[in-house]
Amino acid sequence: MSINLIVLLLISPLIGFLINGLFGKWLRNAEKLSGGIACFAVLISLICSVIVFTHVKDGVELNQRLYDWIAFESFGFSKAELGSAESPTPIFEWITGNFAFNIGFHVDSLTAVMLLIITGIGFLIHVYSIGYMHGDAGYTRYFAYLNLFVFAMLILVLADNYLMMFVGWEGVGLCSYLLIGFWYEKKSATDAGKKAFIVNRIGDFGFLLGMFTLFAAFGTLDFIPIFEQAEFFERAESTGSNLVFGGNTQFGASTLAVATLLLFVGAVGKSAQIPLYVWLPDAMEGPTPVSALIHAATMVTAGVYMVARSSVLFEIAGTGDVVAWIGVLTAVFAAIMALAANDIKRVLAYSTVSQLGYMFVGVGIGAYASGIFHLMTHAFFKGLMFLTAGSVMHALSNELDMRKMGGLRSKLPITHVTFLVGALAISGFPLLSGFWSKDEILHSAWEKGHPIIYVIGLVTAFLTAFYMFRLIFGTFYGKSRVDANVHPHESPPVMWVPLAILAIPSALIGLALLSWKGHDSAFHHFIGGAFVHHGEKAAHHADNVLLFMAISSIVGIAGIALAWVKYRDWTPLDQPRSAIHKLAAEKFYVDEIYNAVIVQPIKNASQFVLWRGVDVSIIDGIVNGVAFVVRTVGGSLRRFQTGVVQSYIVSMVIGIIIFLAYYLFIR
Amino acid sequence: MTVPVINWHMLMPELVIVLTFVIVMVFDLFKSIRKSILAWVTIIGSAIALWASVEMLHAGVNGSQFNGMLAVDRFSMFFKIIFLVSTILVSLISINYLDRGDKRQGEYYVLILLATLGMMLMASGNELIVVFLGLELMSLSLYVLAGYFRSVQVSSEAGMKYLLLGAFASGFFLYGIALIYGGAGTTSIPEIASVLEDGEKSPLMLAGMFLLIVGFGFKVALVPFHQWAPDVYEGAPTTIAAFISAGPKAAGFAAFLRIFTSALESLQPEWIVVIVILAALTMTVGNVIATAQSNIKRMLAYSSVAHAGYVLVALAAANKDGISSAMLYLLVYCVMNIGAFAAVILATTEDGENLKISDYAGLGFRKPLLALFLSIMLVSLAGFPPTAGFVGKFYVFRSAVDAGHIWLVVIAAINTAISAFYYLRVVVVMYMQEPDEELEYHAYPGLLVFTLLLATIGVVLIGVLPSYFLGPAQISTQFF
Repeated sequence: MSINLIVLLLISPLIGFLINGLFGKWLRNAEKLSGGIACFAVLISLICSVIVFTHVKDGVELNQRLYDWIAFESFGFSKAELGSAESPTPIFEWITGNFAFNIGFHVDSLTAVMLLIITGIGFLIHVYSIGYMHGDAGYTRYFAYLNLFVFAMLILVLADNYLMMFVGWEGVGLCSYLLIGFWYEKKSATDAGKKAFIVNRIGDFGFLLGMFTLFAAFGTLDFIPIFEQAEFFERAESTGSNLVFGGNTQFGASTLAVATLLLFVGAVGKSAQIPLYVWLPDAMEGPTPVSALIHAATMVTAGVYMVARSSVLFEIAGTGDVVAWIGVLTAVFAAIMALAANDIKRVLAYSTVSQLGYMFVGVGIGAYASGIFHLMTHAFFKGLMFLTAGSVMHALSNELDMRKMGGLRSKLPITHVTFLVGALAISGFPLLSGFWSKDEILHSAWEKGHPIIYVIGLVTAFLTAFYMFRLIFGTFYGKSRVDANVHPHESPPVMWVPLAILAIPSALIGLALLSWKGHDSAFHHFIGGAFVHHGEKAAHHADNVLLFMAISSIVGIAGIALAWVKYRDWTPLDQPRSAIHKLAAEKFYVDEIYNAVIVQPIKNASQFVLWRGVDVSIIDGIVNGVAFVVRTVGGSLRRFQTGVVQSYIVSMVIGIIIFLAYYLFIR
Repeated sequence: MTVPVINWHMLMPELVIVLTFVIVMVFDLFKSIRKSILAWVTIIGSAIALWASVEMLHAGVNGSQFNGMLAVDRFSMFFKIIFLVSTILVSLISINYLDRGDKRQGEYYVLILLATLGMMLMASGNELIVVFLGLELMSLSLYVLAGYFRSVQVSSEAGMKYLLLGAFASGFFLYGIALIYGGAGTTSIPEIASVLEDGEKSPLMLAGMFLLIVGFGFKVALVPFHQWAPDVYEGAPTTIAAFISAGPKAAGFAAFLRIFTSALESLQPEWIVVIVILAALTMTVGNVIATAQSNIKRMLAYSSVAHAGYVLVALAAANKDGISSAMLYLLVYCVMNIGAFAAVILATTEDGENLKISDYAGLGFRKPLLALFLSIMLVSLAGFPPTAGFVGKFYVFRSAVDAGHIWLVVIAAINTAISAFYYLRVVVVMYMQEPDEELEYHAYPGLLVFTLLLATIGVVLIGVLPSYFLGPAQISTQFF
């Protein structure tokens, strides 16, 4: 696998972005061309990803620098040649050791899976968007952002160091902001965009601090040196010798715990976990394909990816339990809120938060392959469900409230079937993809000694099946509650073909996890190489596997059955009946609490103390004072510039005399 | 003395420039030839010489010619690249500028080529006499160029002042060479170094060294020898102001660096104090006075004085890192400064050039492309990432900190903050102020826009990928 392939993979969406971004003015009247360019750009990336995938399958990994910020190999000089020249120390020597920012790629099986998800689902969603965004005033702008997002996401997963990962991390955050607020004339959309951005800043701040900690401890931000040093440290500690990282005596095991927890704060923000999940439901203000791509399939899983990538650190630091607990609590909490939501996209959003919780359980307890597998299956079925939700909106003139739907089964047959596939998959219906991945995580939790997490996870699985089929029955079954002047119609092929394609892996990809006694499943075998640290054994729970599968199946089917009983012929109520229901419908007042406890005090403090007090009087005063002094001095010095040559010569001579006097008398 | 064997290949850049000079001169005799052809000949000749220099730098030349009088090493090649880039950029912006009136274009390009040749001699000179010859060749051409618009009073005044003061400074320089010869018994740079290493530190040498500082101080406009600069920049044709601020300054520093870190290396404890004081003075006075300017050419003149101070900070580091960072800084500075002057030329109205900063009000909306170019150049001059100016300053400051000149770097950093004030003021005026009167602007001349585009690409490229440019500088710090 050559590095050029990776560069092509990465650059292609960037070029698409530049074309649509710079020449959008001229493309505005050529909608087809603009969408086509964007799709083609991602298609190239997809093809490259497939090639990368097949190569990685052969066990080839790549960890290569593309560009050293301080490279000596420039202008074609070789390193050997430079060795003869005198430059023993790198010039970019930062105050605490050598700092170098490199652009480099780390490609292994984990990366390959992420690449396939990003470009594969990304491509389908690009195609879908051609139909969905048809006729929108910001058509080219939309595709420019979408390409930019793919580019940033690819940077994030291809990076071979934390700093470059952070560049991608911030890049996807920016694109998310731009796309949530895409319809910027809508106040709710811009508010949601700002909310997402600000909440993510909190997480990003944690990520930054985590990076600083790692750099202070290890003196580098590159993955491989950090992981190797950490493993070395662990071995040294287990043998009792008193070794510390990077020769720096201030750092020990607790440093690693601090660093991983800070990185996890970043993941909590990006992947919408407690307590920073509040932005994701609001993010549904953006166009629906955006919700599918960014806020379900790819960007929000960046946190999971990061934890999986840093698995060595989390294992050594022993902070995986924190990750797993935050994950499982988020899973159940979000599922409860999903029960009471009536907006179909919000139900899906809470469901995403909940499923992300499952993924964190997986990577937290050390079942990395299962966590990543759930990431993959979720990307397929949740992406699918968002797109079908978009198709429903398309049919109903942007109606989102399921109390005004019902009975759409006959009007939207394809949408109905594909949605049903997705819902069955997420509910853990036997043999569909979600069944395998979720069961695997829960089973691992039990095996690794987390029975409480297992039970909570099982409850969540039940709730998931229930709210998902509440959604299905409320939307597609029962009597029609659609407004009389709205005429539902099936979407055009450019929209339903991607749905149909996505439905296939949503249903079947779980089979990749099938394992026979004593043999790793295909997926474990493939991805295992990325998590060699503790030699995770995939086939470790060969016993009782059928029992656990049976329990999962029963729970899932029970949830579906209960939903059928309650909602098959639903008459929605205007007001929630019970206090608990009301509490869940009002999202446990978390937004209000955050507003009262955090937002308002900060606003007041910044307005009255920092702005009026510190900024205006103190800082501005100093700045204006300094500027005044400098200008006055400059103005008076200016008078020496008389324009008369003789006086210039005099000043030169005076200068010479002063310096000569220094040499003759003072020294 | 035997007749030296000359390896003409080693002199390729100089030979190409001489040949171009002859061709331009001959072409100028024919009235039927369009005068812009002369510019293109100059540009093509310089480009060939540039290509030869890059190739020679790449190949790693290291030798000398004419009995060791000319050093042909990577150090000189790097500087030749700087000079030739400056010459090409200046010739590009001159075509439109001269078309606006003056018809005598032949001498103009001839003189530019001669000045370039002088600079190349200065960078290669391994012998104080050769350096002096180069210096005079360059200076005399520049005196004429500064007063090139004979009919314009400020232009002739600028030329006259430059000549008077320059001759005065050249006297000091030559006297310094004489004193060093008296002390060391030779004018060859490597030989002076070996004499000094043997412990011979006569007062003659000290005095000579000091007078060399004065001479260079004048040529690169260090405070208190800077006062010619604003007057000359203001009066000279704007293209020539750009030229004087770029290549000749780099040439002065090339010789400065070679003589002081090679020949006079053993006297480092003696000269470093003066250099530090001069650096601090130059930066501070240049920046502070620049804040008070209302004419953009004068502002750029003081800014160029201040930038010489930054290069001096690198010289104060007096080690390999210092030299390489000074080299990178000069490259960066030449590109961005010529870019800034090109933008000033672009901002002209029907009634001539538009030189008051207040005239730039509202330019951001009426001439967005121009305002964008000028803003990029100013932001780079102020040293903001991700432009080249930041990278240049970063490495300079870094090398000085490593060498222990913390206080000098603190002063430099404060000065950078002051400089941001007057650079950004222009940006503020362009984008945030309403114009008092409607000015009629010329249409964009394509070549100027092209030049600015080149400069912008250069500024951004160096800013984003610094090591592709720092690397060659780092391996070029070895003198022959």
